[in-house]
Amino acid sequence: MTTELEALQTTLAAEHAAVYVYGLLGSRTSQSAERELYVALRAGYEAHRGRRDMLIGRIAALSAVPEPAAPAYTSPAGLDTTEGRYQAALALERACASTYAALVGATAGERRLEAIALLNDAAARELSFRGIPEIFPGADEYADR
Amino acid sequence: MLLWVLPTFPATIAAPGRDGGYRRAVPDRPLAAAALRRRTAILGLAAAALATGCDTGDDLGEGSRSASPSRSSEPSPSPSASASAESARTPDQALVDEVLAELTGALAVLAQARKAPLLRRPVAQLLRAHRRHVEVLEGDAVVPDATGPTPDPDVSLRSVRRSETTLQAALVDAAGRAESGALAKLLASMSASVTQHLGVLPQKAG
Repeated sequence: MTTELEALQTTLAAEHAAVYVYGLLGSRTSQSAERELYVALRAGYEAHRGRRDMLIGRIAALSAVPEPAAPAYTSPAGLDTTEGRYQAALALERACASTYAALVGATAGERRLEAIALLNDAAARELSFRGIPEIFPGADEYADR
Repeated sequence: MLLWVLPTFPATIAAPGRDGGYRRAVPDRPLAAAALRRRTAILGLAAAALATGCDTGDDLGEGSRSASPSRSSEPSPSPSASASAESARTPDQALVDEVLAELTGALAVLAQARKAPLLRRPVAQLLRAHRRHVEVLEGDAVVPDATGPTPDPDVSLRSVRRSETTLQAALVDAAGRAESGALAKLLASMSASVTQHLGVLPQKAG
């Protein structure tokens, strides 16, 4: 059984990774030639950075030590093209949606409502990276049944 | 080895039943509040049993005493039977029924909007999604027949948007109230699906 604290720590680890990947994607995207992608990446970066800080505060408030970021991360493949960067950002948000959906299942009360809001935000953000509407965002286990 | 893959939770946290929809699924984990409510309910039942007394061993409770004194040979559901069936429903079962009612309402609006040729494509995706949502909740995904003349596409589109916005809020609310974490996850995912579909719904029918 996963405790709420474990779920929050896992979500924090996801946010650390998301901040890294967004930073990387942003650094490879032209602010002028790829304006639409750049704006979406910038918004994603700021949103995840804010969540990372929020989660650090939540975990510390539970008298626990927030998980630090990993020393390094492997870059996603295919970042040399605009399409590749769109796909990487979309995959990132889908992974975040799965993490938030699991957080919903592991929390209650106000924290669950926060997790639901995060899931909805990730689902909406997928659209800005050329995602298409899914039937069960973040809960793939229901999709094939 | 360096990793960028995001950590996710083990599937056991909130996996639905493999052989069917949600209601057959084993609740994943009792949340503290839910466990407390169940404990309170058990204490309540124990108190009621003490209050009614234990002098007659064959007395099953208040309902059986208030049933009609004339015995009938025909088996029929007694008020006590239906009352106990009602009380046996868990809060999550009642919640699922609430959500199914909301989904049925949304399907009716979509069925009406589908009559406008310009809206067939955008509405088809939503219909497909909601049918699956109903299926997973083990309801009957019957799309009601639309009646009346073909509606104005723009008016219908506004109705769809309003209906889906209401549904999305209802799903968020239900996910927040679910006692089972697995049900909460499922309902939250459905709300996110509606969010996405609203995001691609055209602003104008034409």
